[in-house]
Amino acid sequence: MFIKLAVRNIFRQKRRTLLSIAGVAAATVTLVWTHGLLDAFMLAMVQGATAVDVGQLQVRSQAYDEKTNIFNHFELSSELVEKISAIDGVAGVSPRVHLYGLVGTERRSQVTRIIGVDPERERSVSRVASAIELGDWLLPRAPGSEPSAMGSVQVVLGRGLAQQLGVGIGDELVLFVQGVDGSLGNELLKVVGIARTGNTSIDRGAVFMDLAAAQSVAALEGRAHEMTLHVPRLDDVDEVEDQVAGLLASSQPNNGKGGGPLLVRSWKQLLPQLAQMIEASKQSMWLIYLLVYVIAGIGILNTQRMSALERRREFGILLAIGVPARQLGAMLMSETLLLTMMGPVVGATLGLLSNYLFSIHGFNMAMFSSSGSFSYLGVAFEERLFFEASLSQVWGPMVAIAVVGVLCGVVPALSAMRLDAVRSIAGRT
Amino acid sequence: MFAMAWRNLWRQRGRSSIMLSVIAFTFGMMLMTMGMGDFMHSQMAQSAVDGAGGSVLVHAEGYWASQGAELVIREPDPLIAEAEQLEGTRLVVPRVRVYGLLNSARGAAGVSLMGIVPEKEAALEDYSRFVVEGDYLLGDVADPLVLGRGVVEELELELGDKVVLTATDPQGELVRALFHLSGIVETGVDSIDDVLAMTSLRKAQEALALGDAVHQLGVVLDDDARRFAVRDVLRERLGPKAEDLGEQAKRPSAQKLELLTWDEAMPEMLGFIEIDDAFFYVFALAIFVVVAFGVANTFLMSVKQRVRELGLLAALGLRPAQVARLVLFETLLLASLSLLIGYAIGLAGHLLLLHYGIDMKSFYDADMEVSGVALVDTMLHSQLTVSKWLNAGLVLLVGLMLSALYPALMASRLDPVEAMRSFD
Amino acid sequence: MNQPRILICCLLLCLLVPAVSFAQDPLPSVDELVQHFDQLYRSSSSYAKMRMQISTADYQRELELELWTKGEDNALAVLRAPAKEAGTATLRSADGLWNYAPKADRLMRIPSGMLSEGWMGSHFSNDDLMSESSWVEDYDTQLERVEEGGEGLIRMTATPKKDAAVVYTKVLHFVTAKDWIPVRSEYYDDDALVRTLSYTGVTDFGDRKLPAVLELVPADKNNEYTRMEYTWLEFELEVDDALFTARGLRKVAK
Repeated sequence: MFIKLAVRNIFRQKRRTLLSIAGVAAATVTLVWTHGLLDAFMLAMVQGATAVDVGQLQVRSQAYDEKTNIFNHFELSSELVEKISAIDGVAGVSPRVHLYGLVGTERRSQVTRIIGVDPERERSVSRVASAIELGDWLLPRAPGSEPSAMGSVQVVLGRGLAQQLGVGIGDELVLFVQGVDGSLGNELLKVVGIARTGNTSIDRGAVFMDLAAAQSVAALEGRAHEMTLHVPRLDDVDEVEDQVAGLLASSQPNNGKGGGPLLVRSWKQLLPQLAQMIEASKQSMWLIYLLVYVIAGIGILNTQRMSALERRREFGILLAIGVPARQLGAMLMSETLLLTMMGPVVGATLGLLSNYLFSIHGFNMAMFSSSGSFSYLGVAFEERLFFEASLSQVWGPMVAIAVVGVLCGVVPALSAMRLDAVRSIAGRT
Repeated sequence: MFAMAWRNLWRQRGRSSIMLSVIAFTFGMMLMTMGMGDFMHSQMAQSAVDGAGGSVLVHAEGYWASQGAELVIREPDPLIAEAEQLEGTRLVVPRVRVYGLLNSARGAAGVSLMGIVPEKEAALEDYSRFVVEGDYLLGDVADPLVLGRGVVEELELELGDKVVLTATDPQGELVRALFHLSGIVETGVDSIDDVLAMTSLRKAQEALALGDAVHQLGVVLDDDARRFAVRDVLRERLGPKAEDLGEQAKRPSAQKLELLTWDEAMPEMLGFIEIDDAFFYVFALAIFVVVAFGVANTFLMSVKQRVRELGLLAALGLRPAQVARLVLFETLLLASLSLLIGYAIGLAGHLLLLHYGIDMKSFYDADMEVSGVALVDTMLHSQLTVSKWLNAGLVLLVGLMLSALYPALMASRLDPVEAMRSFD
Repeated sequence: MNQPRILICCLLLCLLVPAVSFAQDPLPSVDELVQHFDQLYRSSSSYAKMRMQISTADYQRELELELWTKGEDNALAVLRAPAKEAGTATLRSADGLWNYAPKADRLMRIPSGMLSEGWMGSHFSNDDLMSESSWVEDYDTQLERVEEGGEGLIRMTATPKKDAAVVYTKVLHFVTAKDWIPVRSEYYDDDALVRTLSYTGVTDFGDRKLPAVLELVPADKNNEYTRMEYTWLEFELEVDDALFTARGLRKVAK
């Protein structure tokens, strides 16, 4: 009986109902939207952090995973590379050699990271090829030609490194690298490109060169330190990781001297700081959510109280005609329940819609920046954040707001139950 | 009229208390949020200034891009004197910065050595608070060296042990100097703890055969916001004067300098702060939306009730303008009272946060580091910016008065009979 | 024979030891000893050929080198084998320590941050080649007679002076009591042995009798060592100053 009454009450008082729903919905929309913003930010963060250096997945030897050391290499099998490339969700595989060496001119030199890559494969994996500020990305080597046949090896330098060394396009550099056989490898380098990837550690101190040249200078012929995989959709990463792990288990290449069996590692393991940061941000979001919930709660509570106050006469009459106080309370509770259900549903729908819109047009972060470019923890961002509308952004706020709403309905319901029929009909407090 | 408004409020105790509580509470919450936001922002900006080494940095031209040890400020003293005379300069911090190799009998490690004046440096990033063993640079050891935990482990050192620094002096010669480990610093950020080495400015100058030269002057300002103006003034005053240029070789003081504000020197730090701020603005906006809805809802909800009540007043002979004024007065009273309570709540929250703070460590377990600057202080406190708080109150007051216009206007146009009849 | 590390360096870069002098040592026997070393090692120039064997946990390797020295500051080492690295050279001049990259045909100054790296993959660091401090200035030395395996030795205990830029707390040198030929040097940090340099294979190089084989063994690494063997060594010959310049180096390195 009281549910029917509640429904009728809700529809009878369109304005009041709308106001209540609007209040609850606004809170929900806000939460869903901020959730979307945060998701978008984290996604951009992960994509930015994995776009150049580590990728989303890496295959490396066990020893290299424990210690990133030049000696922990593995035999590069093109068969394995092809097999991994064929896995669904993998957009590219780039085997790399990582060296530390001395790069410089006669007077000015610096110990830097040298990354040996296959130019074409690297292009399919990392942003670096498209982040060339000056000059060009490395040219693929003609098959069979010597890495340094033309007298010098082409390199792409991070922008900061180029600045520190004081070199530009076309300038020559000398490289010294201690190879895995203890030899002191040397090479003449020619700067063909300067990259600005937005990844601080790359831009400040990395040299990209042809894989074969890097292998040759460090006595690492036919070997690599890791293979970086590009998995464009982060949601696919776990699935791809499993498949690669299966592949590695079944076709472990003969590793010879080097770093032991091959493993696959995801960005979460390769960038534990980032993964932790994201977890932490999600958690610290609760502080903000709590504030929003409390404020929204106060709003809802007062809306309910106000509406109860307004309807005091009505309650009085109900009590006077013999409706038990408990039933009156139950009716009010059902009203609140219905209202607070509708609010979040409306809010969630609107929130999803707005997130969908932002997923198409993007949220312009540039309005907050004076320099017009953003970087956070060493990762540069696009100026627009593109949301991803997903149901996961909705459940939390919906449930929480509904619970807050119901709790807030209890107070007016209880006070209505304690009403004195005569006084309230008379309109006195 | 005023008395009547006051009485009206009291008569409608239920409604008034609801209004009051919603405005006061949400306003208080807003103030607290603002307090936390301002605190976070100023702390970020402060650690940026601290980490960069001052609001404005002075180097020999080209130093910052190349970090070349040979690019020194040859005669810093007149520059320091000049910069210190500027209004708003708190102090000028001279520094020697050089990359070198540190050797113990058991190992070697590359370090980034800073020669500092600890008393002055304390105004910025005060590493003395991270000292876990030994002393800071304040003891009377002749050749003290404070090292990051990572360096100490790499070199297998204990306090008092000998270490030899090898570095390049401005002439490009290799120099060696003996130091004794006097303190160990642990910031918790590996990328800092693994390379940090600090000694006194004097000792660093001596070890590197620098004479009086330094690599960097950090100008610390009373108000960081004035950094651009100060940079321009300094550029004007410290740069080689046009008439000196011809004789530059003869006048070492007329050396070309570069002046950078901290955000020019560390753009990524600025980006970090801006993103942080951006998020805060977005959330503040979200909270404001929720507050606005809460308040507006409560107001609108009461309109109908008020209509009847105001209709009664009209029936009793009040002129429409009078009715409107009454409503406005009532709202003003209510709003002022709510704001006062809101301020009290906000202030209480502010004081609580100021005193206890929220430890964000559980949230930020990861190393927080930007451009080699540790963001290690994880306590969230609050900061009161009086003008912002007053503005927030003013905005809310104006908003409330505007929203009160609606029922007031409505009431003034009411037909008393109709209004009286309006029940639900 | 300056500072102990210079001893290595000297032998390595062909006995570049003119600054040696124990003249201030109060003990007459030390004086004599010093005189002897002075005689033995003093040379205004030298030329040597050497084989170097390196064994580490990660690789084994064998090198052949040619070495020239002149005066206090100038030394040049050129790799002749293995073929892949032939021509790689290290030049020490008044202007610092330089590596020569034959492929690039360029010299590059070794920055201070790289000094701890092993020289040519050996257990000698670039820093060992660069140490410039002198024994007399940096150490207090005491002598005593000891017996080892039936042979009488003189043990020289060198303790760094308070302000000396030396990382070791103590260095022990052992020389034969009879003809004062180096036997072994031990480097200590506190009381722990950090590395040992031993001298064997005493050979007559012209009019000088010297150990031809030097072996450096780090104390904390299993089965690692660097072993150098002089196959040719001559002193006081004509060495052109121009050799220790970029151009001179290029000529011999190629």
